[in-house]
Parts: sequence; C-alpha cells; structure tokens
Amino acid sequence: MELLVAACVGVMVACGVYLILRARTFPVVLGLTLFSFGVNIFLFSTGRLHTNLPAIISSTQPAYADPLPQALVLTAIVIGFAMIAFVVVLALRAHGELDTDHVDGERKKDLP
Amino acid sequence: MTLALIPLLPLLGAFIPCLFQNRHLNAASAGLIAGISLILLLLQIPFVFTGEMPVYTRDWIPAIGLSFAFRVSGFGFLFALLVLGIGLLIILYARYYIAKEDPMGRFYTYLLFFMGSMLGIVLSENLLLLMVFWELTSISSFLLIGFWRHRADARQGAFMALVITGGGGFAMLAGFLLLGHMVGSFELTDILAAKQIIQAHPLYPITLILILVGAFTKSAQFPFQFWLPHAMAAPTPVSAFLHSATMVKAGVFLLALLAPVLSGTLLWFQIVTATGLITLMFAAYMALFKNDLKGLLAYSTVSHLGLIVVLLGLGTPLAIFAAVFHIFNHAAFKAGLFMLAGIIDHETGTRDIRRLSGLRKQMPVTAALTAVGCGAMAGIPLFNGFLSKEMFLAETLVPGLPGAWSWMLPVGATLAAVFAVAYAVRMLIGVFGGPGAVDLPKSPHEPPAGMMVSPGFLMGICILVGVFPAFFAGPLVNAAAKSILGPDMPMYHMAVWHGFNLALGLSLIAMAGGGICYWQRHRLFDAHQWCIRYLDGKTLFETLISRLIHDSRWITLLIENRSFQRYAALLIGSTLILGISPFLRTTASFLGSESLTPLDPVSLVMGLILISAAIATVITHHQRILSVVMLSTVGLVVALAFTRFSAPDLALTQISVEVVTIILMMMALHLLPRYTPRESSSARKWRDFFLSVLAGGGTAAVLMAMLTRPYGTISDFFLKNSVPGGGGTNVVNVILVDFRGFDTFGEITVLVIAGLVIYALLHNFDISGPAHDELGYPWTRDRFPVILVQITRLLLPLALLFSAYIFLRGHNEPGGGFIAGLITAAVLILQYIASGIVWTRPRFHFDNHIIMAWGLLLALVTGIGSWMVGYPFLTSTFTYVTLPLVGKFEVASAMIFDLGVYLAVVGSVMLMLVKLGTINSSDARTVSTTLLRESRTIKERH
Amino acid sequence: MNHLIVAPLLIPLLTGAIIVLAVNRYHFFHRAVSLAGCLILVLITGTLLFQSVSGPIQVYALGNWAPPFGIVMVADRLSALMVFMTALLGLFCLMYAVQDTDTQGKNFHALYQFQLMGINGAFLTGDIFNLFVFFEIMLLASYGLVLHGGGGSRTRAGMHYAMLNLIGSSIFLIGVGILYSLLGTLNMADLAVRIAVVPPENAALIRAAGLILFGVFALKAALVPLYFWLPDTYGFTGAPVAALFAIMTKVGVYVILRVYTLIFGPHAGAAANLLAPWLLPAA
Repeated sequence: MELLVAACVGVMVACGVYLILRARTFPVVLGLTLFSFGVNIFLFSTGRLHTNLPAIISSTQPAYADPLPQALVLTAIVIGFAMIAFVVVLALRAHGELDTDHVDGERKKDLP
Repeated sequence: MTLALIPLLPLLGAFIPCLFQNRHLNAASAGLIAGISLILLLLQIPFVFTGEMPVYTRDWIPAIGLSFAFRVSGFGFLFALLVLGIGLLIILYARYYIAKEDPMGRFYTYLLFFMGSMLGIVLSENLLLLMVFWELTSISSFLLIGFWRHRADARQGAFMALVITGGGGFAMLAGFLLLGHMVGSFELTDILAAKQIIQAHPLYPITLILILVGAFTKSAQFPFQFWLPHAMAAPTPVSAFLHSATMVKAGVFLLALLAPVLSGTLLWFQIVTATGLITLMFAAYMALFKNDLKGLLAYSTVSHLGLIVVLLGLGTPLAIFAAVFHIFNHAAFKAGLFMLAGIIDHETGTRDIRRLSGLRKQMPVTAALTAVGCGAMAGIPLFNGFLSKEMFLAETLVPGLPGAWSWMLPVGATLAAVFAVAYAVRMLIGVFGGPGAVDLPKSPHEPPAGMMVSPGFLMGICILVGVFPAFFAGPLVNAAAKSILGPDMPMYHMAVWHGFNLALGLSLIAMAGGGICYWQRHRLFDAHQWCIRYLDGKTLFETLISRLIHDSRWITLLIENRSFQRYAALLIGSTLILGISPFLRTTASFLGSESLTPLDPVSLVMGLILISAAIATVITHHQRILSVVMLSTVGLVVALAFTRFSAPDLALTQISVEVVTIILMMMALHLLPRYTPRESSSARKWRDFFLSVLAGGGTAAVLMAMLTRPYGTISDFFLKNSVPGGGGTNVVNVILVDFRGFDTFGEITVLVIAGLVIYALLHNFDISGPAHDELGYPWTRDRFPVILVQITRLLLPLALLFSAYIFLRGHNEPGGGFIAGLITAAVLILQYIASGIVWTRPRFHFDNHIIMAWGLLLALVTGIGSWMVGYPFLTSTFTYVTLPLVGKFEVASAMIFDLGVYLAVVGSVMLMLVKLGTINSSDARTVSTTLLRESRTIKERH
Repeated sequence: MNHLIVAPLLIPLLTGAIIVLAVNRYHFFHRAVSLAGCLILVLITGTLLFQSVSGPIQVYALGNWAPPFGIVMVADRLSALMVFMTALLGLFCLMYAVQDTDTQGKNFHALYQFQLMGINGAFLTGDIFNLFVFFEIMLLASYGLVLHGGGGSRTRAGMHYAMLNLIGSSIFLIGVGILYSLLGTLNMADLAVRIAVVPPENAALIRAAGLILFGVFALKAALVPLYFWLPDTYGFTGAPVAALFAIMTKVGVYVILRVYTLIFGPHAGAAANLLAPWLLPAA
C-alpha cells in the first residue's frame, strides 16, 4: 500500500513540476495545483496510513489515525486554494494587461 | 547610554526631516538632531582629554559574539567631531544648495542616516557592530549619490560605489570573522590587546589582506579608486561630506584603528605603503588633467587618502601622528573646497575649468576663500595643509627603510607634491584669474550669505591651524594619536617653522616644480594626450575593467534573464541538489525496517486511475478544458484517498475546495485562450522531463523512506485531551479550533487576503470575453436552462440547512466551519451560475468584504475574550446545553471562533468568485446596466 | 502571561479587519486607521523590545496549551528587535505611501496591515508549521502589494515573484513533512531536543529536510543563486512597498539564523552544523 501511495505522490509531483515548467500561465497554474495535491498527500502520509481508524473519539475504537497531519493538511488545502485562486486571477490579469498568456509577457513566441 | 545615543540619535531621528513639507523646517530639524548629538559628544571631552575611555556595553546576540557596545577613544572623538561638525556645516550649506524642485526632506533624511552610521563606525567597540554600521554607510552613500534619480550618471555612479564598497565590505567581514576567531572576541579592547596572538597566527596574512581590501575599497585606493570620481554625480554637499571628509576616510580610520595590532610586519609595510604610494602619485597626476572642478577635487581626495595610507604603512609613531593630523587638515580644507566648487557651479552653471575664467571680479569673497583652500591643498606655509604635509615629507626620509624604498618614497612623494601644487594653482588661476568668461550659462555673482558661512568657517580653521597649530589643533590631535599609540607617543613639535631641513627643501622643490608645471601645462597636456593615444584610447586598466564588467554581466544574464521558466528550473534544480546531497555520503540503508501494509484491489484501481489522470493532465494540457477535467479527476481520487485512509474531514474539505477551484478555473478559461500552443523545443522538453522525473522520484523515494520508519508523535496528547480539554470528539476539528487554533486563525487571514487581492486585481479591469466560440458560432443567448434554475433555487434552502448541520456537528463528527463555509459558498455560486448575476446579485445583496471582516473580527474577539479571564489568546472553554429536538450538545467558545471561520470563508470565497463573475461575460457593461435596472425594480416592488 | 508578545500580530490584524469593514468609507478614514495602527504597533513593539533587552526569553502559549502541544510565540532580544524594526519601517513607509501611492489601487491599507502581521508572526513564532502559515500571510499580502497599481511590467514581475514563491511554499511543506514524520513534533525547541538524539540511520533524511528548508528560506532571503526574483520585483513596485520588502528578505535571513542555530545547531548530533559548507559561497 505504501508503495502505491508513494508512486501516486511521485507521479503527481512529477506531472506538476513538468507543467510548472511550461511557458504559458494556465498550464503553470494546473501544475501548481497538481504539485500541491501531491504535497498534501505527502504531508498527510507523515502520520502513516491507517484504515478505518478515523480520529473521532469513541469507546469502541481501539486506536486512531494520527490527527495532527490531518489538521495540517486541512490548513494546507485551504491555503493552497487561496493561492491557486489568486494565481488564476493573476494569470487573467496578466493576459489582459500584457495581451499574451506567456509567463514572461512576451509576444514574440506567441505563434501556435 | 549617552554614548550610545550619539550615533543612534541621527539614525532614529533620520525620518523626522522628511515629515515636513517646509524647507526651513527640513533643515532646522536636521540641524537640531545633529546639534544635540554634537552636544552629547562634547560632554565626553573631560574623559577624552584625560585619556580615559568611556565604554558602554550591552549584549545583543551573544551566540555570534555581537554586542551593542560603544566607546569614545581620542581618535574616535576626533572623527566623531569631524562628522558632526562638518555635518552641521553641510546641513546649513545644503539648505541653500538643494533646489526647490528637489525633495529636501528626503535629502536630510539620507544625510542623517549617513551621519548616524558613520558615527557608529567610529564609536563602535564591537567589530561586528562596526561592520553593521560600515554596510549602512555604503547604503546611505548609495542613496545619496543616486539622489537625483532622473540622472543616468547618478544612478550608475551610485551603483558602482555600492558594488565596490559593498564587495569590499564582504572581504572585510570575512577578515573580521577570522580576527574574532583568533582572539576569541569581537570586542576592540580585547583585539587591540592581542598583537602577539594575531601576528603569530598562520591565518594572519589572509586576514590582513581581507581587511586591507575592505579598507582600500572604502578609501578608494588603487586599484579600487575609480568609483570615487563617478560618485561625484552626487549633489555637491554630499561630495563634500561623504566623499572627501568622512566616509572615504572610514577605510583610513580602520587602518589606523587596527594598526597597533596589524602593523609592524613586512607584509603590512609592503602592501600598505606601496598601495598608498601608487595611489598618491597616480591620482595626483590624474587630478592635473581634470577639467571638471569636482573631478579634480575627487582625484585630489584620492591622492591625499593615498598620502595618509603611506603614513600608516610606515607605521612609525611620528608617521601615525602625522596621519591623524592630516586626516583632520584634509577634512577641513577639502570639504570647504568642495563647497566652494558647488558655489561656483551653482552661480555660473558650469564646473568646467576651460569655460570658467576671471571670476575674481564678480565673486571676490569666493575667490579669497578658494585661495585659502588651494593654498592648504598645495601645502603652502601658513595654511594647515603645509604642516602635515611637511611631517609626511620628513617621514619619507626616515633612515632604515628597506631596499629601494629609501629613495623611491621621497622621490614619489615629492613628485606627487609637485602635481598637487600644479593642480591647486590650476584650479585657482583657471577659475578666478584671466579675462572675464563669456557665455556662461548664468551670469555669475556672489551666492547668498548663508551659503558662504560653512566654507568660510572651514577656511578660517585652515588659517588658524596653519598659523597657531599647537593652540588650535594640538590637544585634539594629541589625544587622538595617543589613543592609537598609547605609551609609544612620540616627541613632536607642532610649529610653522622648524628651521632649515631636508623636508623643507622638498617642500620648496614641490612649490617651484608645481609652478613650472603649471606654467608649462600645455606641453604636459599634449604629452598626456599622446600617452592616451599611444595606449589606443584606453588604458590597460580600463580595458581590464570593461572586460570584467562584460563578463560579470554575461554571468548575471545567464541566471537572471527574466525568464520564469529559467527561474523555476533553477529553483527546482537547486532544491533537488540540496535534497539529494545528504544521501551521497551516507552508508545507512535508505528504507526503514517497518513492514508494508497489504494492498487491496480497490485501492490499486483507484491509484491507477489517479496516476493515469495525472499523466493525462499533462498530455492534454494543450486543450485546456480537457486538462481541467483531468485535474478534477485527480482531485476527486485524492478526496477518496483521504476517506480510504481514515480522514473524513479532509475528504469533505478536498471535495468542496475542488468544486470551487474547478468553477474558478472554468470561469477564467472563459477569458483565457482555450488552447496552449506547442512551442517548447524538444531540448527544453527533455530538460523538463528530466527535472520532473527527478523531483517526482525523489519525493516518492523520501516518502517510502519515511513510511518504512517507526515514529513517535505528540499526537497522543491530542487524542487524550480532546474530550476533557477541548470538549469535542472530532480530534481533527479540536486541533483546528483549539490546540492549534492559531494556525486556523492565520489560515482565515490568508483567505481574507486572497479575497482582497483578487478583488483589487479585478477592480477596474475590463477584458471582454469572446463573443463567439472558436468555430465562429455566437455564444448561446439562452444562458440559464430552466430546469437548472428551478432545481438550484429549490436546493438553496436545503443546502444552507445542510451546511448549518455540517457546521454544528463539526466539533464531534467530521465537519466544521471551513467545510460548512465552502459548501455555503459553492451553493451560492451555483445560484449565480444557474440564474445569472442579473437575477442573483440583488437578491443576495451582502457586501462580501463586510462578511469576511466580521468573520475575522469574531475570531479575534473570541480569542481576546480569554484575556478577560486571565488566559492567553485563544484559550477555549465549553459547557453542555440541552436543546429540544437536537438533544444534549456542548457549546464551546471554540464554536464562536469556528463561526468566525465560517463567515470569513463564505465572505472571501464569494468575494473572489462574484468579482470574477462580473467581468466574466461578453456583455459586462449591459449586465451592469441591467443590474441597476433590476435592483431598482426590486426596490420599487418593496 | 505577557500579552504584549502576541499583540504585534493582533494589532495589524485588528486594524486590517476594521479597514476591510469600512470598505465603503473614504480614503481619509482608511489612512487614519492605518496610521494609528502602525503608531500603536511601534509603541507596543518598543515596549516589548525594552522588556526583552533586560528580561529573559519570554514564551507565550497560545490557547494555554503547553509546548510542544500548542503553538508558542517566543520573544527574545533578536525577535523583539526585528518586530520593532518592522513596526518602525512600516510606519515610515506608510507615511510615505499615504502621500499618493495608496490610492492607485484597491485595498492597499488592509493588505499593508496584513503584511505587517505576517512579518511579525514569522519573527515571533516558535512553531515550524505556524511559520509556514505566517509565511503565506506575508507572501499573499506582498503579492497584492507588488501588484498594487497595475501596469504591464509590474504584473509580469509580480507574477514571477508569486509563482516562484508558490513553488517554494510547497517545498516548505515537504521539508516540514519529513521533519514531522521522523521527529513527531513541530515546536522548534522540541525539534532541537529530538534532533539531538536522532538515530544515525535517520540522519541523512533529517539533513535533507534541513537543506530543503534552507533552499526555501534562501529563496525568501534572496541569497545567490535564488535571488533572481528580487531585482525585477524591487524595480517595478512602488517605493514604499519596495522598502517594506527590504525587511521581508530579512525574514528569510532571520529564519535561517533561527532554524539553523536552534534546530540544526552544534548540538544537533548527526545533523549538526548543516549549513557551513553551503552558506559561505551563497553569501
């Protein structure tokens, strides 16, 4: 199971990085999102993987998943959302002001 | 404490002058601050002249040996007096010099900032503290040189000065660190007492060279002298103050300060004397050919600094004494001369000696004062420059100098003195002698009296010291030299007349030679021209420098070419290098000992879906909408993974964030190009592929390494205390609103900021989306399908109820303020999408700014509430209440906090999306007008 | 319990929230509130500095949960000095800004206050994940301020700056994740204690985490070779914001100083003195 999760994280990070390195703003935004998905699972996994042990106190449950990374990831998800929303709008604004969606705001490579 | 106040007062008070718009107040406030500082300094006189040295020490960062310590030695006192005394004169002078259009407040602010930093250098007891002030003077010099921002030469000059002195500063810092390493302390008192340790240490040569580089760059010694003439683009008061009297002497100051421990070795003697001598001669020669008055004075300054450096290199007690005396004399006459050059420039509109002539008639007072200054600069008897210069000449003749020095030094010194006389005469006669000048930019006349006060005062000192040296300068210079030399204080005799001796002979030769040089200057100029032509228009040195600059620019461009792709690749690449490097040297096994948990088929399928969706996102990224769909698939599987691994809260959050994010991206895509062009070269693609595989593989490997290792955590505390301490069974939520509530607090602040930034970005931003799609069909006018409209309107109350439920149960079951807030926002946005902004806006007319501000305030007030009962911020309390229908549940103060979270989330998300939605339509303007009409009709209906 | 330690965060927050609440009022009101907030901040941080110069290191446990379980704020001489400098610089820059630049775009004052809050939080916090949160506050507000006023080159420079730092933030989380998964705690002082007894087979991972974090901080501090975002961002932003940025890069330097003397300091066993070979060339 660990191997599968690690592979998933690896693929998400790799795809995210590849997209981040593209020349247009929108793929970069997609890449940042994908990267942050991967990083969130990474952070989440630091509490190790648990099946059917939600961290909700009850008398019938013998053990619990580590709640702390979950709380951290929740914070990270929300902050990530704020950041992605900002970058999306920034990309929009840049497109409007620079009249191209190239990350460097140049038109010269603007050919299909 | 008074001691510390002397430098701190100008530093902290620096901002005061720029608060006023009135020019009198600008100058007066700056003068007042400098004046108070001067009085505080003068209060130290009783200690200084009796040879005591007051020290003020406070620990600052003991871990690195930095302490907040000041001292007033006699030498420091002399310098501080120069800084504050000349500083006050400059403040007065600048009041008249700075034009009305220029921001005078800012000028005085920079000036005070500089004064404070310079005082810090001369009064520091701790070497690291001295270093801090040292860098501050570089920065303030940068600001002052670049004061006229609109001028390209000013910006270049400022930059050059910063690069050279700042770079030298780094060398100096390294030298100081080594020095501290040898002595085990950065306190000057300790260091000055450790001569044997330092000079016997194997690191002594490198330390010495590093410190010398720092001092030489600051004091513009060869080969670093070229920044100073460029710094003359600064306003003249700055040149007078920083670049002749004070800052450029910081290097000399430091050499003299550390001379007792660093000097006395052959290495010191060779490097310092040689550098000083080359500088002295080269700069004196250059000064002769400068047509710009300030350029002439700049090279003359470099030359005089070289003279002082030679004296310090000689290192005999009398030489040190002469150096101190010359520092004082040079500051007085050179600052005055700069001011006079500024007056000439100010009144005639030019500083070119070739254009100026015969000004003695229109400006007699200026002429007289300049004559005094030039006399001192040339070393004519009865002016102060003569005295120290003669001491210098006498020192070059001391017996016992090694090798060729015994004749090179006096010859070089005399030659430089010849040039000095020549350029002084040229300046005086060129400007004031001869026939009256024609077609000057302005018609010359005497400046306002206030402008003459400062140079007049300084020239007065030149004469008084020149005639009665023992009375006017004796005690001060004596105290200063004594604090450096201690028991080695030489017998000296300060007087105009020493009888006939060899030094006087050299002085006479210099004066006669200088006169001849001036008389035959045309031949000299021709020879100089010929030299320049012979070297193909550029000296070897200039070629070297321009090559260097060219190369460094090339390297800089390699890194900093304004390409985001390059930057991002560098960032990721360096992170990879940093992250991988520790594993290269380790022999321990990479994976840990824990066994793996078994894999079940459903998870495997889900994992494969995730992997393929992620790869598909990349493959389809040229078709953006498809790519977003793929990305949302990844997001959904991530949410499922959270459910699978016992994190229901995360799953809920992920899903609701996912929905809102996708809506946002789709809205943006409406205005952005729908397709990404294929433009990456295949080399670029391979590079990126390589980097991303490395990044992904690295992350996966590290994750595996972590997951196979055992671990212990502080989380047991949270599990134990969640119910008794936090009053909730959902530990994740209790952590969020209680144990680590402060994170959440920061997190909603982030959301609020995002709302504000996005609102600001989209405000007054008008790009219209395409009126038709890419196949040329117009966008459908039938925007709101009836069924969707009806369903969403029915759904609304239900969904709001659901989010209230999610909110309330959050403390005990998965849920909470965040998730509820996101659900509410998503539902409200759905109304906008289904029914359109025209219908929705007037019906949900809340200002989202205000909602989120209240959310933030509610969270804040809840947190502060615990102060009332004597607990820290965000301490929670709870109790149980029973309500009909709902049954017994617990009310925690954390829930009010959570309500704040809820409001902030709803407000900020709505703010972002609605703002985006209002520009997101092909007919934005018609929408807004319809909107107005609609809201009016609704109002009328009520 | 000395509430002054947490006040440098709460005052800009309160000021900012009030300004947002009064979104429809005149500029004059925003300016007045903003200036008043900065002035109070200077006074409070001044008092804090005064206390910490003579007193011992003060720790403030938020929510009254003892460390390492809750989040703590730590005020020692260095952090108190830094927040005081921030407040002072903040006040001056604001005075400069209210002369004209603040009306060139929306929400300047609120963002300015949140920026101050983020900087102060980064200086004071004693918890590594909380540091991440304050970094994000600081950065997001700074993105807004960089873009304040608009214009093509500013937008481009701001975009580079924002995207690079977003990558940096994700990398930060990876570093924190590694530390947590091996040491099981987030409090910096507690990390330092646990790192000293880390088994040798975990040392390489810990070192990797430390170096990855260093990369992120170096990006913030604009150390070579990660300084590339700085010249453009400085060049194209308004003067007061650029001045405030000067202290933001100091946050990076400060954190490097903090984290690498406290957590990866000489006592840190296998991970000791992590930076020595890396820092010299970067300076």
